[in-house]
Amino acid sequence: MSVSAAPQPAATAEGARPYLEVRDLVKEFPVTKGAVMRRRIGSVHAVSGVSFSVMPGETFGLVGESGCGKTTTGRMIVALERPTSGAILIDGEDIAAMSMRRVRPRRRHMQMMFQDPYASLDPRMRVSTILREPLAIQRIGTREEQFNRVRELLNDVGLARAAMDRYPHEFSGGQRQRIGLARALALQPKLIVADEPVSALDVSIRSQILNLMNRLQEKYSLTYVIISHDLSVVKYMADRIGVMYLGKMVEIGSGEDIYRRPAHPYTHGLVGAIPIPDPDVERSKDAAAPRGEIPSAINPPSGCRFRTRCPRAQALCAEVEPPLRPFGPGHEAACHYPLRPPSEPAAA
Amino acid sequence: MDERTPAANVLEIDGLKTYIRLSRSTVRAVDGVSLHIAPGETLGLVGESGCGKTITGMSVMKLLPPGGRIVEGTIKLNGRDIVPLPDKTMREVRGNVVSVIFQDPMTSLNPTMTIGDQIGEALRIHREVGDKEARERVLDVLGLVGMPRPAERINDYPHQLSGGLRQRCVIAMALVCEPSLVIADEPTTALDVTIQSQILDLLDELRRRLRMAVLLITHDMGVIAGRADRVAVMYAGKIVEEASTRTLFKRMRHRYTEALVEAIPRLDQETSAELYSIPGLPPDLANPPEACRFAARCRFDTEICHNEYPAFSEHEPGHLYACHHPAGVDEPVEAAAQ
Ligand SMILES: Nc1ncnc2c1ncn2[C@@H]1O[C@H](COP(=O)(O)OP(=O)(O)OP(=O)(O)O)[C@@H](O)[C@H]1O
Ligand code: SF4
Ligand code: SF4
Ligand SMILES: [Mg+2]
Repeated sequence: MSVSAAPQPAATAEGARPYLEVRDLVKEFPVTKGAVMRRRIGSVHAVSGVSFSVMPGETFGLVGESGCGKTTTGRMIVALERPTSGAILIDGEDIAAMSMRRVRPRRRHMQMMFQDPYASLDPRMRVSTILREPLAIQRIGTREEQFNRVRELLNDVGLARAAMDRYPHEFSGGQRQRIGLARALALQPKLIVADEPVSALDVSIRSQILNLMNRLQEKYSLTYVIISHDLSVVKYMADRIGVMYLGKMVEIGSGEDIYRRPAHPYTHGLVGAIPIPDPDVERSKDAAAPRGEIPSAINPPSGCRFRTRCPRAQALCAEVEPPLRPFGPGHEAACHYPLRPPSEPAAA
Repeated sequence: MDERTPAANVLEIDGLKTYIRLSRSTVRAVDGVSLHIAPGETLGLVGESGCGKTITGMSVMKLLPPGGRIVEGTIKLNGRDIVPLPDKTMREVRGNVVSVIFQDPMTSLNPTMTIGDQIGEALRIHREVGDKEARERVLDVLGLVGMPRPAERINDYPHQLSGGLRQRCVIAMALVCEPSLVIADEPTTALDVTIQSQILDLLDELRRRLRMAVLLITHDMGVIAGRADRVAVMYAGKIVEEASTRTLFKRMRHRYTEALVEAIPRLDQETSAELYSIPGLPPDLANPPEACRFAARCRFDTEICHNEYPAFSEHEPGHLYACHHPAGVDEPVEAAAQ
């Protein structure tokens, strides 16, 4: 990776700098054949040139259906996965251009919260060990101070002190997700990437965790990237939302842009497909869900990747990939024949 | 509906108790459930994980987990109580009068058989049809469930299909004998939301065309709102409220239903206010309280809620709820009905 062309972080009018900035992020996984002589027969185009930025204290939501690359994007942000190309600026520093040795000490600033809290917690460890481990590894504080921090963390996420001596399996799904959140918070990160943080939880437990995440964000000025297939959850949590389809960012905007003023036919179809708990709203829906199936990310369609399911597709869509264009303040979409006129004429 | 005489119910469950005996305790998974479904009707059964929805559905199939037993109540399918029926007779009922669609299509599909053979199997068992006729019928039903190019797909194995197409096969299998009742247990939970919408549209259309009754089991209030004619809300082994879908969402009475709806983030609303969050967890069904089972988590509980099980009230015809302090009962019915 080139060091000379180090990307400069974007500065806004007020001079504030995004805490996280992702530029042209690409991740390809090799597809191999044969057990002994492994031949590369292609690649999965998991993430294909995704860009977005998140201001400090802001919540950015990434939504999309299976295989759209949202989890891979999240894992690259916390350096659990290294990008094929592109830049990931955390507080102005490009971690994509750094060696793992240099990334490691910065990892405490960006933590991940997973969907299945059970799979991500070591079943043989007591909660106190699980929460103390990150502090011990980073050699932060004395033993005594570490235990105090564990107590503080449990208090933050609403668990009793007695939880310290128990094992993950002794907790309900919601409680385990609280432990997962406490562990993510242990090193006082600035950024938390939460991948489907409530998808495994029941409705009544979901709102407990979402509200808790909001309270902790305020208390510790956290920046969040929340990844979910559930647009309702993302809209509740996020200031801005990115909609992904087959490795591409197809639309970015506020929750209201996405729900009320979508410009991209996929966003429109996705919104229409989401069931709303109100029979009157459900019955008056006009938008039909996109027809057909999501194509494979090994051979994504040429041009616009959504064209095989798009009701508006024309010849151009197969030939030219549509660039992101502005549709209003903070609202962008990538479509040749959008549902509303762009706010500026498209660059030729 | 254009029925001349009021149609008899396809399914009538009355006072059903299905318990599961474990080594040290007995789980009262279904604890006194009554419900009914008319031909061509979709009843939504909604509730959180572990509240007994699946065991209710599996009681109707009489396919219970080890230790599971129907201890009380009747289950009438087209007027006949199936609770006392021997397993041999049940085999004629399953797939023929009632069939089930599960969440994960792979649990219903045999990976070593072509989908054509699997769909045709029910026909050969229940309808004694020849190979040629079975093939015709399988092609018909694959077309009906929207399988693209059925004549090619009929020889495919399940692993060659996407999740959405597999679920279409499972639906084809469930429908090939045109049962009177289909139990759809979280039929789309494992699917992407655009595929979910396609599959639910398909189920709706088939129900209308074939006048099947559908028991739609889900934890998703949005799916219920869009797809069910009537709704039964289940909590900790019991039905707590039952009403037509519109009544349930517009004039819910039970405080659990109310809390559940308030706890869901809604796509169509600006959510600046904090979502309501229900404290605590559902009770352990091995040892549920002999009172309102929601009392420990309810905002409106009083002493009576912790001491007495609330009886069912019927505020309007067809709207039943079991709550000591129901929501909105001080409004006159006429005003509320507007
Ligand atoms: N195979 C089994 N062995 C023992 N207990 C079981 C078994 N299956 C279900 N139960 C118990 O029976 C009760 C009801 O379970 P059931 O599966 O009907 O719930 P559900 O409403 O379908 O939940 P979900 O939404 O998670 O599917 C629960 O307490 C559950 O733990
Ligand atoms: S670019 Fe073409 S195919 Fe893609 S979303 Fe727009 S209209 Fe549809
Ligand atoms: S009976 Fe009491 S505790 Fe139960 S839901 Fe009604 S008000 Fe709440
Ligand atoms: Mg179930």
